[in-house]
Amino acid sequence: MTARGAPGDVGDLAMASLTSSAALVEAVAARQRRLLDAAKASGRAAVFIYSAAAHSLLATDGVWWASGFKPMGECALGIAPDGSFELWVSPSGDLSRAEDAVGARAAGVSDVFVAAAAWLARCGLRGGEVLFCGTDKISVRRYPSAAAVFGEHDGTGDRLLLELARRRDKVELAHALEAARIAELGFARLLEEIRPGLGEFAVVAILDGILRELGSQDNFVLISASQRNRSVHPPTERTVERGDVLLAEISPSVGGMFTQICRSVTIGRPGPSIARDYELLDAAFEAGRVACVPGGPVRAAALAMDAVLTGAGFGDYCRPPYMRARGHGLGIGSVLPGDVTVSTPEIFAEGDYFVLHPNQYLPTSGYLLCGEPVVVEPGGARLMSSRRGELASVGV
Amino acid sequence: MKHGRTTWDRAVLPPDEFEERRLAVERVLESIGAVAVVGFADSSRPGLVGYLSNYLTAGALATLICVPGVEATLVAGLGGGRDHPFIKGTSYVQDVRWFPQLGAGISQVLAEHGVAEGRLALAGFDDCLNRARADGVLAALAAYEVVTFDDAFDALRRTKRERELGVMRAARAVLDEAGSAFSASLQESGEVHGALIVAERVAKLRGCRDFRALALARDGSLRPWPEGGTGSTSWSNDPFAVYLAAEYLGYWADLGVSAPDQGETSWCVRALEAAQAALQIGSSGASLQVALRDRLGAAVEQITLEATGIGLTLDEAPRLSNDESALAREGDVVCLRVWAKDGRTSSVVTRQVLVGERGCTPLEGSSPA
Repeated sequence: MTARGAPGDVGDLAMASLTSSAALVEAVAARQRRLLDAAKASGRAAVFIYSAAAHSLLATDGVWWASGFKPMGECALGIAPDGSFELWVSPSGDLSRAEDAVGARAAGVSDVFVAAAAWLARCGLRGGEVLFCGTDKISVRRYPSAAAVFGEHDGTGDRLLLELARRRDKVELAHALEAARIAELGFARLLEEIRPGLGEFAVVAILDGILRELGSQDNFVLISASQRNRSVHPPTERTVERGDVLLAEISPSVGGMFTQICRSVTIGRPGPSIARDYELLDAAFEAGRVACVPGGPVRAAALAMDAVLTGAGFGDYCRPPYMRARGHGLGIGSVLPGDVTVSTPEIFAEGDYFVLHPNQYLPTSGYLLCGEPVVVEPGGARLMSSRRGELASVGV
Repeated sequence: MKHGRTTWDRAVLPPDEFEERRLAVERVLESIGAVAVVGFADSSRPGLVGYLSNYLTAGALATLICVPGVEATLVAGLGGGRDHPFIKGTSYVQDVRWFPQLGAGISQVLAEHGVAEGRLALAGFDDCLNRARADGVLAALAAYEVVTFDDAFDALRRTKRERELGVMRAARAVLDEAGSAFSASLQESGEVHGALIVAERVAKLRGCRDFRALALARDGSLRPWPEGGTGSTSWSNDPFAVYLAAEYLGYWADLGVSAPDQGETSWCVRALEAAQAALQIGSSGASLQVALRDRLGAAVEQITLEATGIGLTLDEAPRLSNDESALAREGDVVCLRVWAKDGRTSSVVTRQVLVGERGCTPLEGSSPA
């Protein structure tokens, strides 16, 4: 069993200190410095980051990462050559919340690109002199406004931001640890509530409340059940009954850092095939975990997991539609290393944060979930959860 | 993140409802000379995809390809087909696919139905796609004359169908229950944050897929819950104001709960009544503002009125308060939202109304079965 590291791994500061405003402000300032330095190294004088406030588990938000402010409407942030910055917030009624994050640097605006144009003029810059991050967030409708101010940008800034932010800083990791703690506690409490007759959606409703009480700010959840799951999916009104296997992808977030734990629960005593198949997935997880080393190919982790399953005779099922990916990145500024698949060209870097999961359909028991949030270290991925999950059972 | 009950309630929205919607869309296509329509949807904008298929994506882009007279094709999921059996269970459209290159996939489907050229209508294209993806789609559709379907679809969608109205009434009833649970919990605990957790749980247990809230913070601002605060310490418990919204079977309802109690004499309620009394066929946002000023006098400065359509989104046509050219017409469902600010106190009340021949009437809640 691979336990997560001690609090010292994120410095001597307690969780409360690391997620305090002061620590976050310091972290954000450091992120902006790194980004501006990278822009200048690439021949640009300043940085512009755009957000459409379309938040999701798999997407980043550069404005949020570089300011500590979670946009609820179209927002943008400009970092000038001298390191000063401005945050343009819409709707303007959200200004006070932005001021909590960045003080007087925030301005409520009706159009972020109009604000950006004025900022460029004040800085004496042309649009082409700015590193543009977030081109992938701009809709077709808004693109003409962006292009009118900044000209055409090819997405170089988007990738640079992903690379720069991929080593999650101490504040991000502290948030991720807290989110993992909430996920594990929430799952433990959920097990006390699950009973036959509950609809899948009722299980989610109960879980949502638990996670909120524990401090989760958002939550991505897939919970479904079947006597033989074909996949995991959003909850329907199907009721949970004895003999079912309930699958739960539980992904609360703190400060924008999502975590994810993947759990399987039998309603009643697990059959021998399910227990055996879960052990197989658990072994696959461990094989994948040790393959997550800095400088190593991400696909090696997927191949390592596939090898365990192939060795057990399930090689034909190590592909869609029987599975999707062996994991995926999590974060605000970066979701590298991206999807953990056998075909990805990505390379692991120390500090990569993602969920590793050999979630899989097996013909002998159906789809099962098994996964933990991890961070890449020299000896392999370290768990961000307190312990590896186990096949759970309720109503035995 | 949307993750509540995800289902196709065939009793409330039966297959014939989607068939009739399809026929209505096809009539509009014929009127504009389009050979087909392609709709794009994301988690915030279900658009044509949700309207014609019942499929509401919670994340990945969804695309619906509709050629008149043949079954539509839904392009959805994260790739690999793992989620397609589930998607088929919630969708009226059963031809569900995924393509690594969306544009090529759309072109392939159109070709399968013999549609190789002509006017192709696109819905949701401008809002759901980024430039890079849009360029790829347009390149694959170079053989067609591409036109937007957004305005035509908005016009079609403004008049809600009877079954849509039924679902919207049910959504409002569920939210009323959540609001009552919020009030009861707040009375017991004195804590807005905990009461909102209770409200969300009630809404989700009654089958809502999504629940959103704004709450009055201690600094007098209305903020998204829970992100706008730090647990229970940032929200104003007395006075308090919360704006609740919930999505039920794809349709939204909203509700304001405030204290001091927004009785009949409060500015908020008087503004709401004035707006409702003034709203009729041909009303504009400006005419509603005039009515407010006539009724409230100087107090109107403390009031913000929103008057927009509501349905598959919280803000849709007619956007009377945001679009100077928008005029109310018979059949519109308009959500009147009145926000009042008085120092560090805020209040909010909302009401969904149906514009009729002689004014408008509230869209009353009716409890779902």
